[in-house]
Amino acid sequence: MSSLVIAVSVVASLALLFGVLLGYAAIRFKVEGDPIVEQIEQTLPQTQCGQCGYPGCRPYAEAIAAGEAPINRCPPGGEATVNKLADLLGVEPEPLDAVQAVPTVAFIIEQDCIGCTKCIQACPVDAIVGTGKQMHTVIADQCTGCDLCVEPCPVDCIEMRPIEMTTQNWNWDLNRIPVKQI
Amino acid sequence: MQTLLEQLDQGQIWTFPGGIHPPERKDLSNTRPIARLPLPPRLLVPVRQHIGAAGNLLVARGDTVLKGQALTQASGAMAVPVHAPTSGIIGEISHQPIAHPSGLSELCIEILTDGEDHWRPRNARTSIQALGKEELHELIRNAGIAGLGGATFPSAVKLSTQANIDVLLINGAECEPYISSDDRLMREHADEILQGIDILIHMLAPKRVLIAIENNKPEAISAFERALAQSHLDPKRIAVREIPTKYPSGSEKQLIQILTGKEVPRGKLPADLGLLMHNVGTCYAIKRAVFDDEPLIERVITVTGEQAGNAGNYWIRLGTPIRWLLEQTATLALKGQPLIMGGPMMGFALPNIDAPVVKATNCLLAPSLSELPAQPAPRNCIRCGECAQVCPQQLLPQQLYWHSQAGEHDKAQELNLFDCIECGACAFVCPSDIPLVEHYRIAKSELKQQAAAAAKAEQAKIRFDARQARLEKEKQERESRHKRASALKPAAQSAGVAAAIAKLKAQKEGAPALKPAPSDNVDMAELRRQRKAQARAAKAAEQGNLATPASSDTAKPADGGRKDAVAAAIARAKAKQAQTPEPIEQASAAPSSADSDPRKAAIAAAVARAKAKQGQGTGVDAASTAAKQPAPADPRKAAIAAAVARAKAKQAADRTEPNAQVNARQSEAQTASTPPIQDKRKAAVAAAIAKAKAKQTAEVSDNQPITHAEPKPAAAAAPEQDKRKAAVAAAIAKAKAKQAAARSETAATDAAETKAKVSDNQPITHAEPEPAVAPEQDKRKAAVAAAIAKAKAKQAAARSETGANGAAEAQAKVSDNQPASHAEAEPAAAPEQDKRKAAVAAAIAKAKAKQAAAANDHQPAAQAEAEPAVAPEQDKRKAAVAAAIAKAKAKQAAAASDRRPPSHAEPEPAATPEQDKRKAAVSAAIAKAKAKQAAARSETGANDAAETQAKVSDRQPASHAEPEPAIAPEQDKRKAAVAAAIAKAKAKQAAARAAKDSAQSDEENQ
Repeated sequence: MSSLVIAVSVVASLALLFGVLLGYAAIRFKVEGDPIVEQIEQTLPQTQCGQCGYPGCRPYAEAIAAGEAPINRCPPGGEATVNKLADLLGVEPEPLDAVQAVPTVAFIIEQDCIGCTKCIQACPVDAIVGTGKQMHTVIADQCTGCDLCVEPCPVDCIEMRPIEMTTQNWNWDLNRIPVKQI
Repeated sequence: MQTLLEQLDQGQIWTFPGGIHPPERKDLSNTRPIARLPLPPRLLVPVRQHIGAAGNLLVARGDTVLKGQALTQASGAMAVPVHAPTSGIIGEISHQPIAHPSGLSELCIEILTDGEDHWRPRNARTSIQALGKEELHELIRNAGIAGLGGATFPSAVKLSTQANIDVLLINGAECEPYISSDDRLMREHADEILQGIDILIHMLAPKRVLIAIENNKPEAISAFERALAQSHLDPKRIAVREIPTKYPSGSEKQLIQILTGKEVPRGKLPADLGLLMHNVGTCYAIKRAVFDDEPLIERVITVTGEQAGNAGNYWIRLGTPIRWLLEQTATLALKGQPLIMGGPMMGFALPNIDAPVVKATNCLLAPSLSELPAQPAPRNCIRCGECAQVCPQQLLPQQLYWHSQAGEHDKAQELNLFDCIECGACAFVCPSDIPLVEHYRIAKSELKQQAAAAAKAEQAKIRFDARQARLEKEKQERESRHKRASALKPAAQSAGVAAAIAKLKAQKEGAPALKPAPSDNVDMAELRRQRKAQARAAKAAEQGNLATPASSDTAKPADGGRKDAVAAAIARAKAKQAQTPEPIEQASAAPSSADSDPRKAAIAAAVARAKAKQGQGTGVDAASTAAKQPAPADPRKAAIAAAVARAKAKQAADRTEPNAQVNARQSEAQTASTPPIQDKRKAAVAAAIAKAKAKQTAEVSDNQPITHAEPKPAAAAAPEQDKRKAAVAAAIAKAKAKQAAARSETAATDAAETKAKVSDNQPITHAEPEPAVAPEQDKRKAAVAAAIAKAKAKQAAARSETGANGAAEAQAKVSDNQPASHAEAEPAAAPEQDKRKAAVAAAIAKAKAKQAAAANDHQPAAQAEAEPAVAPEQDKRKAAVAAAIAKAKAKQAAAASDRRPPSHAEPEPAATPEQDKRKAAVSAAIAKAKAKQAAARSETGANDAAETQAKVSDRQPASHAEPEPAIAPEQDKRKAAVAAAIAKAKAKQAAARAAKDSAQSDEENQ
């Protein structure tokens, strides 16, 4: 009888101890906010292009986290981003909802620019410099290639040019370049 | 436990794991001494031949360059310059295919050699003891030396390490098969390499120096030992190490392991371990740069392979086209066989043999079919593990291969992919002929691109967030402004107050004065507004000797049928003086308005600004511009008459020995009066804008430069009658005159005169914009008349020892000529009458005069007179707005000059009255006259004076600012009539360094 009491009391005290430990840990290590949104946003390419239908990468990340948006709406990120999101969220990867465009950068044809500043207002990352009645230009290093400046231009002097391949960013894909046999 | 130095002194060597023993084949090329080839007819020098950034171009097409002359200048820390390998003429500077596995193009400088091979002046030295470490750094860096072992890392960067170097390692291993360039260099130039090592010892002060040479080069070892015995170097501190032949012992990390037994941890540099390694070729180049003052313009290149007719080593100028090199050495590359740059293990197949030789090129290999059989198709990995056995970095090549092939680059990275040195040992032993290194390279570049994209995304997010925050802030500011405006608005409307407010702000030594005269019918809201205006008027005054502000506010009640009439007159006068002796500025604003409007207010505004700036410069320029614009009239919509006249005159003259002259400008902006506007329905808008800018820069010269700037824009807005739509008449006249006078020995006189008149002729350099828009009568649509006249005159004169005269005159008037540097703007807006809405007459006159005088004897005077007169308009329904803005800016800069150039800027826009029954007629006249003078230092002295005058109908000498807007009364039965006259006069004077005299200025007020 006494052995039964001892066993029960030991198990009960152990249960109480672990319960207290778990309760303390739940308070002490409580995670604020929704970290999944941050992780999703880090996966997205931050072009802020709005092609997903949301005004920026952060709103899209929040929509994905809330289950409101599919993960295949990011053309700049491409399949790689879809796969990463699928891994992150534990869902099946879906084919991209749009055609992944080659990475581009905006270019202002300077002799056509009338200095209307409309593209400056459209640029989500402030990558266009210029002022009224002065020629504008794109800071190519900061341009995310989001396309948003093309539409507002009244004289259509902005075009998206593919990022030029140099020896610095060449990716050793020998098949892509015709190697002249000598 | 022995210390490292003790172990080194005992001659101990270590080994590294893995490694292979490929066939060496060095005897193809190492049996003959280094030969020289004739100069190629054409060189193609890539501006970037090293790891890091390219320098800035120093040459242009057609330049003649000497051998050793720098073609680029290093701009950043990681940049090194390139030099002309021989004398010749610069040809095309364009993108050309370079020696890179991608075959992509980079910027190259073509040099057409002249065959003379002329050196630039050299400063050879025999001892470096006098040179400090910094000087040696500069020498090595400016010589364009990058690591010649193959990586082409800038040597100066490597040598600038702050760490204490215990052991200096000299890499003469040359483990790659076929290549013998370092071997031959060590055999023939061991003494010079030792001199280079001596320089490094001088810079780094290492405790030990080890020269590592593989034991398959006994001649090089013996040559070094001989040279060591003959040199003054301490044999206890410097030693030649014979190391066993094993590939890749020439790799930096592997050679460090062989010589010291230490492994360089990932992410660290050898310097962190107290070690530093340089190639023997680099040491030789450093010797040539420091002792002989010869930059890196050539190097030893091994041309080898069974297809090479004259295999051997050659001194080759950098930039030599490889095709020419192959022809000279009778090398015939087989069709279908790659021509390899570098060795067979780490080299790459050249995509284009027109590419030039660069600093990294140490070997050209033209293999025959028996030497390099066609690569069989890769088969499946059988996981034999051979690659892991030979990997000198102790990686797991097959695992890296699996992950790289599957695109799982992150997993490959976890297996330390970036520690791979791409030596090719794994691919060499692979029984399945898998090109492993190629997979690693692709995976590496993919990972680098991902990292770059992540960094860019992070940057974009930061910028996006910053932009969002900024937009949010702006939005809040806008909303708060709207709240404030809406709080004030109902009070103003409901009040129906006749008030006249005159503000005059003068910035002096902190003594603003305001005298508001409250009217009879001022309600509380208006009183509040007046108090705010008073508080605004209290500002800090700038430095100046004299400034007398006067402000008067007169508020008179108006008669109205329904509401009260508001007559407001605001006069602001700002005078700023800086370091001028006695500038006097006066600003008087006398707005008187009595508006009577049945519905709305009639606004007549006249703004006159006169700015006069003086600065130091050389040369005399003058430009004057005048623009005239007639006024349209429209019964229903607004009639806009705009006249813009700009006159810019810039002169730049270089210094001369004798004296320079003083530039003086006067800009007068007179804003006359704005009579009431009467309109029946809407407002009639008549706007006349006249801008006159005159800039002068005078340099030291013997003669007298005369600067004239006479912009006289008169804008006359003829009345138009239209019942439905607006008639728009716009006339823009721009006259720009620029003069640049440069050095001339005898005397050069430049005169640029730009005149724009209606009926006037003038000599040299005329630009006469005469926009006259006759009134149009239309019943339905608008009539638009626009006239734009631009006149630009630029003159450039070369140096003059005796004297240089430069005069630019630009005049734009209706029928008037005026002497030096006048800018007069007199806008007049005819009154309009309106029965329903208010007639607003506003006159704003701003006069700004800035003077900056340098060490000058004389006095430059700048006057800016703006006289805008807005005639009243009559409208029955809406407000008639007559605005006349006259801006006159005069800037003067006088350099060391003897005499005084005066500059006047007098914009005179006149807007004739308009009659409209429905809409508003707006007449605005803006006259800007800017005169800038720049005066530079002179030995004798220079005085600068800036005079700005803004009056109604008066001219005054130095430093006047008198805005006098007068608003005629208007009668309205329903709403208030607002007559506002704003006159701003700003005069700034800045005088710098006056050696003898100071500027004097007189002011008169009316």
